[in-house]
Amino acid sequence: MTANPALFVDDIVVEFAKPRSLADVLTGRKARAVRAVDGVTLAVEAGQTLGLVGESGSGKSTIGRAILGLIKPIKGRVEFEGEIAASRADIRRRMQMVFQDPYSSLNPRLKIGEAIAEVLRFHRIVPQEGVATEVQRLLSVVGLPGAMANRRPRQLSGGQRQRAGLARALAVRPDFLVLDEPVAALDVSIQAQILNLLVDLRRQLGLTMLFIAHELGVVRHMSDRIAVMYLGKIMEIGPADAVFETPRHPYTRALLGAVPKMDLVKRERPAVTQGDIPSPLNIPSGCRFRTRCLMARDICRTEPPEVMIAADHMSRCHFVLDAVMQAPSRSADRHITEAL
Amino acid sequence: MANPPLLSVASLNVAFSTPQGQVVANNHVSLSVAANETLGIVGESGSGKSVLCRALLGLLPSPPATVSAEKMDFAGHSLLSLNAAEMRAIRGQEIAMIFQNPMSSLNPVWPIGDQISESLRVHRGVGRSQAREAAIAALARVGIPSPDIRVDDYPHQWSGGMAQRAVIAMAMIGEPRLLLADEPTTALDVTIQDQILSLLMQLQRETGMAIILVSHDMSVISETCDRVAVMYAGSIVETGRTVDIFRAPAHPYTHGLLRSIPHVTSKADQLASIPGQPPDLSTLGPGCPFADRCPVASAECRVRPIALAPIGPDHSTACHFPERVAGLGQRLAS
Repeated sequence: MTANPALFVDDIVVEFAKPRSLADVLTGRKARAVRAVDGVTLAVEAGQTLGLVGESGSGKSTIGRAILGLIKPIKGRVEFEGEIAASRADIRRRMQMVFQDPYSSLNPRLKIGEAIAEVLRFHRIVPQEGVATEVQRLLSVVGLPGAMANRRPRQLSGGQRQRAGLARALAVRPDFLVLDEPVAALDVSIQAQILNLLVDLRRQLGLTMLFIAHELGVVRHMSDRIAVMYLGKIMEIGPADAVFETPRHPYTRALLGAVPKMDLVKRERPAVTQGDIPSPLNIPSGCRFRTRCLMARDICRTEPPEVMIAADHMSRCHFVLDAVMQAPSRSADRHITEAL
Repeated sequence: MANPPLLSVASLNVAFSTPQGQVVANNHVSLSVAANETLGIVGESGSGKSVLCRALLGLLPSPPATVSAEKMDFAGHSLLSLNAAEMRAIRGQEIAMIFQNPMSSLNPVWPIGDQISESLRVHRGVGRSQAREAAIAALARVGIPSPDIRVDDYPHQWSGGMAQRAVIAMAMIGEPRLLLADEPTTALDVTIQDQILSLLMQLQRETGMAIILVSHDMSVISETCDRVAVMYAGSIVETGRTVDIFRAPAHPYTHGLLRSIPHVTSKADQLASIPGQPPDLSTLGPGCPFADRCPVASAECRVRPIALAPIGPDHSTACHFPERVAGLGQRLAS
């Protein structure tokens, strides 16, 4: 980790109050809080992409929102280029968000061109007479024909809407993007178009990115570094190749093992995990993965240490130094990729 | 194919009448599946996969749907000749179906156990206590812990993965010979998807049922299916053994789909995307529906009608130039 990352998130904690049910009121039980993010520290260097993976309820979207100031953490701070982001509107403008389904983030009554122009005018990005030209430029940057400026969101396909959402985010000329499941709603052929566009834009505009997704192949494709989250905590963080090729946390290993392998052998193996993800209202003591972990021992009831495997690779497991954790063999997968 | 087909469909057509005119959602779809076999149906949104499942079960309302087929034989009799009551007797018993969102298949105000055993009580006149025992056994079989207690739970008390297990228990209680699974793991997290896929394969080994598994995810198909049918714009554009389809795709769309998947094992600089978007089903031209997005299409592809034609044992493609697809890998890579 360099001394001056573009984004630095320092030990943030986010809680959501759970409303008291009637039974809680009658029994006099206090309101409980769901701790969605439980002490997360991470850094992203300028021009790099950090991938954030995890299953439903792991808190990955909440981190993205907390970074942009859409949710206020109860503890910790978010710094962008060394400044506290929460206190500076000009810094927050340089940080933008792209959502999973732009259908719900674009105003259905505004034409695409109007939606982009609104942002340009509000932030006075270009002079009034230059707005129309700038809208056309932004549309071409994201690969949409200029005529799309006159369409409404419902007249666009899913992939086109995602491009429009991206154009709107880029309108304020941000340096940092949080992308929250940007391709999860798209068909695979369209998904590849959007991923390629994001890679191009990152290179052309020098963007720094936090890329949130549940699909491991997509995250691998996009990320320089990867953080694996489980129930509000980062279990492992490190360079993308290291995390995927030699995972050093049993949860990372389970996630990778659960991905279908394309080995063209009809499955006879049992599942790699048992049981469900615990409720965030009832997080296991100690290591939160221990209830589903095949390696769990008594010691796992105590909070696991942060073990540095390398200067830039951390895993939160008591046994990380004992066991050599290898990703399952994927030679067949490679074989197919090469054959094509 | 080792076994005679359990289900055999020839030239199934499904059209919907809409204010914009006739929309052909399934166009001359032919397929078959045998006992112990899984047939994968892969395709993107709007390719007609779900319509196909509903047509097989006779679940499409007419109007607006018009369903016709040359042949639709199941276990020796024709589904086309059955009346509504006879079809109902087969549906849920001989042929069962599970859907993408398990919560929408469960009634929120009724205990899960009662829902699982409902078909036994209705179709087979099984008594209340016996039905409860059957529901507990069915839940145990799909891996629900303490099924004797959980049998009285309501759906909202269960997670998505458990609810999908409940829906599978409901489908399995009639000992179906064919299970239609429409995107059964799409709404689930990857570790839970892994559990459900292992469960489905285990149940198939135990019962010998045939499975038709609909998915948009090529990797799910690769681990569960013996044979695959690739759908595009309402037609099957390629079909064959899974191994052949994945190793030597003979349709440019299949080839593109396989190449556009980002892998967990390797990082490419550029994904091979398929340009453009799927066509509007109400404005299909006479030629190949994929021609506008195809890297190897010629002018004639847009006008010359196309049909599935065999290119090898149990391998067919709806492409005029399958030999061009074979050369595509190298050209895309260089």
